[in-house]
Amino acid sequence: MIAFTITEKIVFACLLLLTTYWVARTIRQFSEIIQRGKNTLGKFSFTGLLRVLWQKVILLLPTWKTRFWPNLFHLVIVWGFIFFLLTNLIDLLSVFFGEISSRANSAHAYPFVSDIISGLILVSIIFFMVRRLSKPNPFRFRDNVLSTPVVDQAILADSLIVGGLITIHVGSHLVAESIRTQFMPQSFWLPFASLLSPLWAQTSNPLLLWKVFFWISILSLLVFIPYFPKSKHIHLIFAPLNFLFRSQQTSFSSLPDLNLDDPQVEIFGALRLEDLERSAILDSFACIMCFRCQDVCPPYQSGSPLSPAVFEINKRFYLKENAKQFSSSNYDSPALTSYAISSQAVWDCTTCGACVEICPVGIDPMADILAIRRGLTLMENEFPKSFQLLFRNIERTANPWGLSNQQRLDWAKGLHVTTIQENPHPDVLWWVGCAGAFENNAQKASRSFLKILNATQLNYAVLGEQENCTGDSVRRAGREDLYLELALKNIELLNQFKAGQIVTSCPHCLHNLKNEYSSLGADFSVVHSSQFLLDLVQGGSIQLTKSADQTKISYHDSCYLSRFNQLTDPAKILLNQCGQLPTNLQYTNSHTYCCGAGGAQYWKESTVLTRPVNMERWQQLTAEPVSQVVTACPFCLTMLADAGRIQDSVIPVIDLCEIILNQMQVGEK
Amino acid sequence: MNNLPILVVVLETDNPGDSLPNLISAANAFDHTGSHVIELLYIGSHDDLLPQTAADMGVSKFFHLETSLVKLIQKSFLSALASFLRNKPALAILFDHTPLALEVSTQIAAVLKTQPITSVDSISTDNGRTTAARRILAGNAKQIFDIKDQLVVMTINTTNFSAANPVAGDHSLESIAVTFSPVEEHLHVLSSSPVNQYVALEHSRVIVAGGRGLLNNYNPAPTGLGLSEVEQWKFEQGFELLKTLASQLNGSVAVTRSLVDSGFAPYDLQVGQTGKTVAPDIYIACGISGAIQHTMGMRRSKLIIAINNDPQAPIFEAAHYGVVGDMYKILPEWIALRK
Amino acid sequence: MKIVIAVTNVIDLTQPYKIPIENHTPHDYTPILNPWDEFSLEAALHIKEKYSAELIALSTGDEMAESALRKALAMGCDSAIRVETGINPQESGFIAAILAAAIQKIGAVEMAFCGRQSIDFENGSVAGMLAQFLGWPYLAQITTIESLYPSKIIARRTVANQLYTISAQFPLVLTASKEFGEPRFPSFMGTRKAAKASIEIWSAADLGIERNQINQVESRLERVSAEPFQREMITAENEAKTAEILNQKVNLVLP
Repeated sequence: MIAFTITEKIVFACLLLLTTYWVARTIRQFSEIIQRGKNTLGKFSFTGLLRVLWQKVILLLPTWKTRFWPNLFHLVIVWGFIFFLLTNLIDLLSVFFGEISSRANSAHAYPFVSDIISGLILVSIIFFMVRRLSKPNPFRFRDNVLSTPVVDQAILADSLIVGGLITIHVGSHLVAESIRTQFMPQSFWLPFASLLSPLWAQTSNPLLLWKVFFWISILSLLVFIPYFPKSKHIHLIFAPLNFLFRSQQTSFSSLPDLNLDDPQVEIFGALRLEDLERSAILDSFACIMCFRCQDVCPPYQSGSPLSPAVFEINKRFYLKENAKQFSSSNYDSPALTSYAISSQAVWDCTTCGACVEICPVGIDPMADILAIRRGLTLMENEFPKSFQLLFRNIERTANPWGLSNQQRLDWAKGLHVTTIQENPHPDVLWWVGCAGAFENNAQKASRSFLKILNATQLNYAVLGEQENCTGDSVRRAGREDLYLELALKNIELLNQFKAGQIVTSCPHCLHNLKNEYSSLGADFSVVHSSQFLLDLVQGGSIQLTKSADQTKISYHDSCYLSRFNQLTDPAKILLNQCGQLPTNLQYTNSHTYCCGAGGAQYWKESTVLTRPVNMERWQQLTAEPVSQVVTACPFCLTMLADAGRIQDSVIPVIDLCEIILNQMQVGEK
Repeated sequence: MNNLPILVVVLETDNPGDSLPNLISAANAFDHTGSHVIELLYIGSHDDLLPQTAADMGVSKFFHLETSLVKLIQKSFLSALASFLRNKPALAILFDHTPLALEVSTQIAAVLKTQPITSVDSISTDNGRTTAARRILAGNAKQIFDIKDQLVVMTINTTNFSAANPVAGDHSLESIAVTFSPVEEHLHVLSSSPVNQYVALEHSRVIVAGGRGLLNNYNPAPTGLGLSEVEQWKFEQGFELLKTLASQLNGSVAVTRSLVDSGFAPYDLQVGQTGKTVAPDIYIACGISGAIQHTMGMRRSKLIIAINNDPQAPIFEAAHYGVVGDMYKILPEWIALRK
Repeated sequence: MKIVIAVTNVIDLTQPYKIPIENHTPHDYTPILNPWDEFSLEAALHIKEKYSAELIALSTGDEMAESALRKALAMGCDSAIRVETGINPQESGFIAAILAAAIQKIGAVEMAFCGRQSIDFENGSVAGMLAQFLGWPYLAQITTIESLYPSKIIARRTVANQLYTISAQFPLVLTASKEFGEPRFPSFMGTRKAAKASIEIWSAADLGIERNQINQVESRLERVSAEPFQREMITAENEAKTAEILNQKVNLVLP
């Protein structure tokens, strides 16, 4: 029988109390640190937590987008960890109520399951150790990224420490179990334990040896607990919390509104860590430093000093080093741009959301970058110089092109277009967008869409001179004041007409009208032109004929359509019905790759990059021979057309509407 | 109309040797009958040639307010000039439209309590009524002034007046020195040096700009170059042409965004939406298609010339003069012309 | 040190506007702060930052002029005064006289900055006339400020390809050139403050000014006529001829 001496019990009880005290202290400090952030986290809900635990923890759904084998082994460790929670509880109780493990020793499957899981965990850990040590350095980022010098070694050391502790903890538990088979015959075969048991056949005092390994296993856990908060492995607490709060967002990476009129507020946006949202601080604890976001970040791939991963890690390292000062509410931490992210990196972000989409622990680095942009623009008056023109144009003419709204219908010259003055109560209000009205390439798409509308004899109208920019680019450049001005004006205007449906061909306009305006009281039914056209086709208003051309085409998914609004199918169904054969793209659907225009990059002077984002995307789209590149966003259209022109390519870049116009016949109704 | 003289005032810094005939021509425009005499007041250090030029153009009196260049810059002569003009009956006082003369003319107009008319482009007389016109609103409109029979102070855009022809006959000229007593000076020139020739794009009066059309260079490239080297060679050939013409016109070179984006030219040279906004006197766009992102950076230029081989290029909508043609053929001819 | 900066709104020529053919007073246009005033503002702000000074923005005109003053405040001026005369004067002589009277009323002003000219009417005569009405020296088109003393400023300007370093006694009237540096973009915080700032309003009577005492001559402006944007395609038999025509066109404008 296993029994522990009174000394053992007292010492262990003291250690347990100490650990409990330590855990309580750590929780308090974490909560103080997180509370330094702005705004509250989302609401806690029990059902939400259950859903998160099932989807994100048990099934690890967010991880499966890339890296299959490591994910599989990681899954084993996660399940093992959960099982070991139980094992550790049993072990702990057995110290004080010694009989338990012998009682559990009956016909239960527990020792068998425990054995299998311990074995699998050890195999997985060995896999990860080998993987970590055999790869040159997976935590590699370019020298132009702002970071603390020791980041890569620190991550490696952390992995080794945690790997080592798990090996010791699980390993010694397994060893203890195998020794126990010497003096306590098992009713179940224990494959892993019996592998080791021959080692102890000659031992004179197996009970003592068992105790030694039992204590090593338990004590390694007690060593692990204080180390845990300093490790990236704390993500197993914070990642589920992160998912729980993030799941309450109304749309993909929704931005917090600022109350600019509140005289109490003195800081707009974020200059320091404590100016960021609480969720941003939670993010840095949730980060597992896997660098998936860096791998999919278009500016990073183009040579920019922007690495969302390193940004999160820098935040984390800062908090690790300065937890004590930072948790005090009157401490001013240094400027984020001095240690967490360079200002060039802040301005290089295309706000494509790829990092948010890929993150397996629900981190949103893009939200922080936009908060910093607000801080730099509103508080410090610091932004790329070319944005002066953007801001001035928006201020004067309510569109980024700086052209008078009187010229808003110039694109339709020679065509019939119904304006809201002529038809104040349309079924469909067509929001043309500034690009569609002013930009050469996009004007062609607008003309095509107009011809389709005219052909179907729908009851539609455009706003014409009354239309303004939605404010997407100025918002993403940090000028929340200009955005609010435009947004409120637009909402008032659109409320006047009460159109049944708003259709727009610009994914950026779509995202603002449909999602971002909702926090300002807007409630519009907004669809993208691709959805709208699909509805027309499915409703029989227009029929599509299949093109005879059998050359493949590349369809470029716009980030704001496919990732921000999950609208990937309509365009693909339409293209399919037009008989257009798609190429195989690695980056497609919600996993698309940015054209380089988003986040006001379109209006920024180009920074020197090894290969501009649009060139990179062009390369991907034209890797296979294609007859044309198709997209459904005016900004993507221009960026890709530019890339093609620079490459002297003859492949045309056209809008989806143009293809539909070519392949359609008006239905008989 | 009264028969008071028309007084032309030139400063040493106006480069009067060159501009005087045009100023005289502006003065002549006041009247075709020749009933107004034209007099000249020269402010500056001794000038040998000026009296003769003036006499040739039919100027009857040559007043000389002698002052050194430094004193001229200090405007030490201003009170002397004011008292001279107060006592000098004249119908009109004409200055060249140069920066320093403009300053002096406005100060003098204030002394004489009259509203100056600056940057005059044309003067005409009809039925004894003289009008002066000047362009406003970036050349989109014209203001026309009736000179009436009262003293007027003007500055003249001399480039808009052809040089006066020398008059035949008597070339006698009365030279009169205007003397003045020294006054307390508020401005002191401490030092001076020749100006650095470099002009930033925003300050250039002439800009020769190139776009992607620079790469449509059909001249045979040297053999043995790789694809990207050929591109680079094409660009350099075109850029050299732009630079040569620009230097002949005392101007600078600019490019469009696409040349910057593809790494051919530095961002400093980019004109357009995301580059610099410029408003030079002359903007010559070569091989630029004229996307709105570019034209919004240069549309305030006074004279826009576009050369492009695509007759559909939108740049022609924004240009005062358009030429459908190959810049690689036209620019060398133009450069040869200015050598 | 007290510095006055005279500012005005002008027509934004990049936006549609009506050419003031009938009553010669601009209407139906997008007003912007005169870009030349911004250069002078930048120079004054430079002095404020480097040597400390009180900056007073001054304008004459109706309520529309306030946006120019608010922008000046947003860029960093300390206070703003608008002189409301009931009429919107076009003649620079009248404007200069109002400004001169206002500057005298403000009192103890060391420097008065003006824009070199307005971008719409391009008269360029207010600064010179203001200097004369005040009896102050006039230093135009400064490119840099070398140093500042309690009683004088040392600055640089270019005349006819020579760069002069000039020392000028206070008080004086100045204009700044484009070379002074790009005017700063008003910050959000500055704009926010400026939107709430109160602008002092003075009447012509406050200044003891009447229009007819300024000019001896009635306005000579007879009419304004539109000059359509001439767009012309040049065709010639060969490139040499084309080059010749272009060269002639350029020579007509060449500075």
